[in-house]
Amino acid sequence: MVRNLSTAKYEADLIAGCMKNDTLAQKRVYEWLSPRMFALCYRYVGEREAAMDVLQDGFITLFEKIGSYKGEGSFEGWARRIFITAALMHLRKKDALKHTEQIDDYSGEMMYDSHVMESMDAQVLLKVIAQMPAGFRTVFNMYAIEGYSHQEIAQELGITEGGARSQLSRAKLWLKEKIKEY
Amino acid sequence: MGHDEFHKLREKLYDAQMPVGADLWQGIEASMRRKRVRRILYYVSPVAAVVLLALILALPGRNIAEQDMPVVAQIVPLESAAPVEMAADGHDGNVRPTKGVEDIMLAAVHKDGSHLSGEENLERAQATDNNVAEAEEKVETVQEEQEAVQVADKVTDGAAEKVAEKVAEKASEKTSGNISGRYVASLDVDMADFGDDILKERKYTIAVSQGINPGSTASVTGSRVMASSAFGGAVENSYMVEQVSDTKYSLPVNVGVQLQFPVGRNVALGIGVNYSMLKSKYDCLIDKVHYKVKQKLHYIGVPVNVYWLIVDKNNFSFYVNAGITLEKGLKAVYKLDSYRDKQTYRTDIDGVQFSMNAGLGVEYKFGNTVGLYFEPNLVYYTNSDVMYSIRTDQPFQVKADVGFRFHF
Repeated sequence: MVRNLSTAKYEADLIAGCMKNDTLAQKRVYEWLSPRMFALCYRYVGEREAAMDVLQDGFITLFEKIGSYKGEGSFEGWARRIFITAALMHLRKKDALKHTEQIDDYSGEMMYDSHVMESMDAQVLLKVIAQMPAGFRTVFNMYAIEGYSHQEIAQELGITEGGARSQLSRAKLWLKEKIKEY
Repeated sequence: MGHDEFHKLREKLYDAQMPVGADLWQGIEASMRRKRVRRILYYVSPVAAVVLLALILALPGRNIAEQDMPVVAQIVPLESAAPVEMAADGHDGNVRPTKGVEDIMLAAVHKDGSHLSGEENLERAQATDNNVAEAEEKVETVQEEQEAVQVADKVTDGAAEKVAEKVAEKASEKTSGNISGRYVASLDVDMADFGDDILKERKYTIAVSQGINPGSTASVTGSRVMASSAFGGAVENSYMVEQVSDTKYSLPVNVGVQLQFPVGRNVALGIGVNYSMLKSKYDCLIDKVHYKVKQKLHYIGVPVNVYWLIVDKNNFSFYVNAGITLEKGLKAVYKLDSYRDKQTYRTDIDGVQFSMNAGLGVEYKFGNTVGLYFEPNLVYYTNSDVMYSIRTDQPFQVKADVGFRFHF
């Protein structure tokens, strides 16, 4: 409990420092968040170099907009939202989301050995997901990892809920095939 | 793959980490530093430009005189005129503060009723082509006078002094009489010419213009959380509006009519009416729904400007201007396009847009009535309580008006 309080205090101090444009506080926030946010960016954009660019843009946006963080909810959750937005902006700029057209929904259950997936290292899984085509990788990330609903995904990406479901089905099928290879 | 599998996947990947290259922080720091510098430059450069412009404007009279009449400026300094008068009056040989040729000219011009200083008169006199020949004559006279002084200094005996005095008197007569007389005549002509020019500018003028705003086609990068009031109340206040794309601004439409009338010697006041339409488009999330937004803002404004004529020669006139504009928003139109539907909102624009401008202009006259002008200006738009537009994103702008002036 004491540790949690002190951690919370440390976080609050860092955020306050960032709000004052304190470079040291900004660096500490960067060190704290960057490994996780880099993995997030990589999952969305699928390329290491592009993920680095998105990460950089995301941190710059984060430090510029940190004044709008009102302390409601976790800071990391708020930051995660900024990096997801940065990644989606990157994909939109590259027109990667243009081709998220509706496809036939694959409603069948994916039958595969779940132990294979459990045994897979997170880094390997990240690399596998990064290889997915951009359209359904985005939907898969938002649904399976971030926990968005189909309605939220549809709203965020400007597609129909059916389209979001179809993309997810394709992602499942694609992932099943890939996991078979391991 | 069911919910359990997703749950396991989420556990593995939600907090997954990847090592980041060591140099990324340096990149972020450098990028933020560059942004800070750009932001400073963004605000400082227009101020510097205005200061520079002010400095340039403070100089033109002197520059024009120096460029047009370098001979006179160089050969008739007070120092060279002083010995002439000393020689003329200085029978006792004492050196005392003297009047120079320019002062003589000043006295001569005062006869003409002008309140201008001797230096200004000199400059204006010098501003005509005829003066070059006169200046050359004057060089000869001054040289003669100086020779006389030298003679007076050298000669020691009384007879020789008398001779020298006679020579000096002769030179003095030339200086105070003939030369100044010529200058008076010359100045009379010049002032009359200048007066005509000014009178020409004292006519009423109507200008019709089209604004060109090169800075307004910019694309402003970045997302932002916007107040729902960004849509002028079209969106419910409880909704969160977040811009998720760059903003692309189109070239604004800007047309106006202005009446200009003289208020001073070469100063005019211009009052007019103009209409502006600002267009932009961007993507945003309104209550988490993705929309493509096209925004059109219509403004009507009253610009008030002061114009100062600097040069008017060979159908070309060059002037500087400064002023303010008050604009009232007429209507804001938003076209929102989502995967669900298309909507169009029209709302009123509250508040008044205030802007300040300063710049310069050049006009070419086709005959006596019609002139074509080009007028680049630096403009600063205040941002209090106005709609999102290029003016809120880039309050400092360079714009240019192109139009016709009708002189009546």
